[in-house]
Amino acid sequence: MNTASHLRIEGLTKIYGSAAAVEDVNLDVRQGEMLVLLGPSGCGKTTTLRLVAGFVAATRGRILVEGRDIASLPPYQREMGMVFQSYALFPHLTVAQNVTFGLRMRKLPKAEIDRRLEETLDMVKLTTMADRYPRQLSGGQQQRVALARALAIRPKVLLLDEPLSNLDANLRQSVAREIRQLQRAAGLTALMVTHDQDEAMTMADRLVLMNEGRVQQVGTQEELYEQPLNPFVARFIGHSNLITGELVDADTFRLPGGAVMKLARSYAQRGPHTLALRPERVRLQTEGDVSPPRATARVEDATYVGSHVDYLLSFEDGSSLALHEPTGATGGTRRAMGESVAITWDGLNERLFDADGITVSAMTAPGMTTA
Amino acid sequence: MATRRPEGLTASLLIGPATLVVMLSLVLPLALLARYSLNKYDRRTFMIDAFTPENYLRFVTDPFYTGVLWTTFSIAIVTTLLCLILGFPIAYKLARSQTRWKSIGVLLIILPLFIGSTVRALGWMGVLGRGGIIDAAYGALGGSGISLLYTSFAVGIGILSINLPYMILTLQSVIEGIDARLEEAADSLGADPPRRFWHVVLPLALPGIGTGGILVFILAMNAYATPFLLGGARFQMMAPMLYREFAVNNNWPFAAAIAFILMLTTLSLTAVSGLLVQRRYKAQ
Repeated sequence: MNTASHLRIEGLTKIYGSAAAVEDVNLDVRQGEMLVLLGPSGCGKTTTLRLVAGFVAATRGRILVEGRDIASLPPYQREMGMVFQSYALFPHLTVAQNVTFGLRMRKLPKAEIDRRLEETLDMVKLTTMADRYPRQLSGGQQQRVALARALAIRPKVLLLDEPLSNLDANLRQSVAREIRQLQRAAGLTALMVTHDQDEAMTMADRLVLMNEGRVQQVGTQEELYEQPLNPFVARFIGHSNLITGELVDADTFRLPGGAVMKLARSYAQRGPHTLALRPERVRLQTEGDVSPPRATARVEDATYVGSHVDYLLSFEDGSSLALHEPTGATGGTRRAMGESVAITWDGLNERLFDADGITVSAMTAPGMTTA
Repeated sequence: MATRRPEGLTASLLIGPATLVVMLSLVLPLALLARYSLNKYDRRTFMIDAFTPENYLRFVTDPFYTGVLWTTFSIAIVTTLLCLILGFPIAYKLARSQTRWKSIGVLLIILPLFIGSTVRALGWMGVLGRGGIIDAAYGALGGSGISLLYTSFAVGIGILSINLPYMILTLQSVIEGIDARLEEAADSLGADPPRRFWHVVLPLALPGIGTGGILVFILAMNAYATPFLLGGARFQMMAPMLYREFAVNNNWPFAAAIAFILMLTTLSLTAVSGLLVQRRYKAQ
């Protein structure tokens, strides 16, 4: 993959009235890369996409495509291929007329238009549907027409706004794979928006997690999952137990109610912190465990869900912790409610954030083997 | 077991009263009018029972009357087209606006409808007539007095001002039904604003243009107060002429014939334009 940045966003800001919908967003999308903007609704991901498309004028910032700032160009000069959430197919035009719309606007010669129509319809396997109207197509077919229409103009950047959200659940995976294949085959740089984490994980080369108009973290799936930069990322990607307490010495974490945890690593900082632990990375401590027990809790609820037992544990002060115990090891037995259990985890799976939500790194890292 | 009343009977019972009202207030008078139009006019008794096409023949063979029909048609067509051209941008702006100015804008469009057309025609007399606003302004600039009153221009502008709100409101609701994302899609595919309008907005707004056009065309064809007050004695349109035949000349048979000619002309033109719009829409 070419590592040169193909689409570059610098200090992009959009202010509505006094509120910033998007604030100081900086992104680099490499040639041929699929970058997925992920976040809860109202986080600014869609506004960012619309800023790139040109439907919304930026308050500040630059949008560079192949080094050229396009932030002041109208959308019809930006050569972005946009796939809308609602597909936005022209209802009065046939599939063929929809797909060739952009080509006709560019006044390409008839032969070239026909050639590209055939090629594009072939790509999305809709050759037999050319003369149908959008209302005569299924949701999945409409989606493919929308994609074909965007691909036909050979856009500089492909923009996808929640492309799967209007599809039946059983179609989503296959369409997701199809979009990926087409995008890879065409070597297109793509920017996609979604609120669905699984969708983002499946589609992305890299992810951008946004919240309240700001980028929280940019990285691969592994980076966001294993090394969340702040409590928001830890909670949003997968799930994390976020436990607030106080670092009283290098490896002692005291909860507000007085319960004490022995951390896996040692820290130089003291004072209020947030500890993030993933349910599937915490385990019930048993005899012979490589790690010592780190905390004791009471079983509030235990649900057997097949692949694992879903535990809800509570500490003395009432704060709770979710824990997923794989069923393979225990043969499907579960602990009784009210039972007191010891829990433990490995140093790699422990993330600590200070009061400002910034990652705190350990002084020493026993057992740490980062590549 | 209770027997169920047949559904057809229930339906006809429900539709019955409305049908009766329509029969009594619309069909019956029309039938009566049709009958009158075939009667003969007499100076002393005013109307004699007869069965003659002479009223219709008199209308179509006298260039004065066909001229009035032609004038009415021209004024109606021109004002309808102007309504469309002037109304579309306003309707579009209103439909796509999302600020609080939108409701103010809509209110401003509706407000003139609260004032009767007679009052508004009188207002235009004050603007266009001798000693009116335009005359005064022209005089202040050194010109000698002008009066635009009692011209086709005065009638046209009067009808235009009355019909424009209907056109704007009709178009606005139709444009609001066009997904704004479609325009963005056209935009991202490289269509500049004029071509976006031509290839996306216009074809999708066509049914609304048809409805609005027919509405204001009918209103203009049948305009009464405006041509009466702003056109004066020299400028003739169908509705005032009909009234004069009926009330001043007491020639009910001829007035009835004029009424039918006006109605049939309007209906057939409306039907033709409706078909054209439908065909163009289906062809896409």
